[in-house]
Amino acid sequence: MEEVERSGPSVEEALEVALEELGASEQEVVVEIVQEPRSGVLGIGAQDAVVRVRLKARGEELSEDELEEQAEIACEFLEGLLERMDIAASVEPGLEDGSMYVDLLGEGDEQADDDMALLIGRHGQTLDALQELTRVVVGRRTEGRCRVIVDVEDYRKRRRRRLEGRARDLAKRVQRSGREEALEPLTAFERKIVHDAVSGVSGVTTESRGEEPERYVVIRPSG
Amino acid sequence: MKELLEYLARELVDHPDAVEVTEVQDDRGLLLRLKVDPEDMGKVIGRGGRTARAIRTVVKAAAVRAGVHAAVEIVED
Repeated sequence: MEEVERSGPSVEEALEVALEELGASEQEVVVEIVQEPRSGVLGIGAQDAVVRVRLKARGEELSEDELEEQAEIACEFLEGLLERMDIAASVEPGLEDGSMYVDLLGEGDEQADDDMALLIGRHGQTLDALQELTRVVVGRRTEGRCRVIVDVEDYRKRRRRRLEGRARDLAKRVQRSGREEALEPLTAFERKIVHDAVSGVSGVTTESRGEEPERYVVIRPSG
Repeated sequence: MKELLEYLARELVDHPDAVEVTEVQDDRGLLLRLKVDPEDMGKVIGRGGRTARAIRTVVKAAAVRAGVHAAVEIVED
């Protein structure tokens, strides 16, 4: 998924939805306004804003050196943060399937288990916050978008695998039944995982519905 | 808590020297007031308030760890 077209009551809102589907920030995309919103008279002739949003330079993947540079910045930032949270954990970078993971690992005692659960947070909220801050810090100090994925004791990797499997199973069910199915509310990062996993299944398509934090993905027959 | 918030803010802004955090104790707990250079407001808030939300979430987690209640307020210089 490199380009999406989305509508909304305003250009800003349409853009917000499109960016989320792409899992990108505003600096990482080219935005084309297909249609300006019109309020109409008494609602007659009103139309939504439509934007087409394309990921910039997707073909230009980061080199391993650049990934390592990003990981180094991320590690340093996260180590400083853990220290100030009074949490003892090691921060370990690792390249896996072309993605740079930075994993926070506890020391295995009881306190560490509590701390790691705290860093993940409810539905991964704290982990998402760490990801967002890391993204900004890395983005400020390097060219190009931040490719570093922050994880706590493989939480994301485990959850990702489970979610991918579940999304594909559901997609196959939709393929057979012709009826749409919805997943529970997910974070933007997790919704992106579902969109990507289902994009490989023919005859079905995905879309996000609802408002944060209750936004969820629907899988439905395409066409 | 103060030190953590100062650290986060300084990592995000262009004018780290202008970052200032004051602690106010009120009846609901600790209130951390973050002041940054006006030019850096957008950086600590982020698109749609994403960065500010992330800062609050991390500070809240640290507060849980420390057994206190803490809230973050971002004010303009």
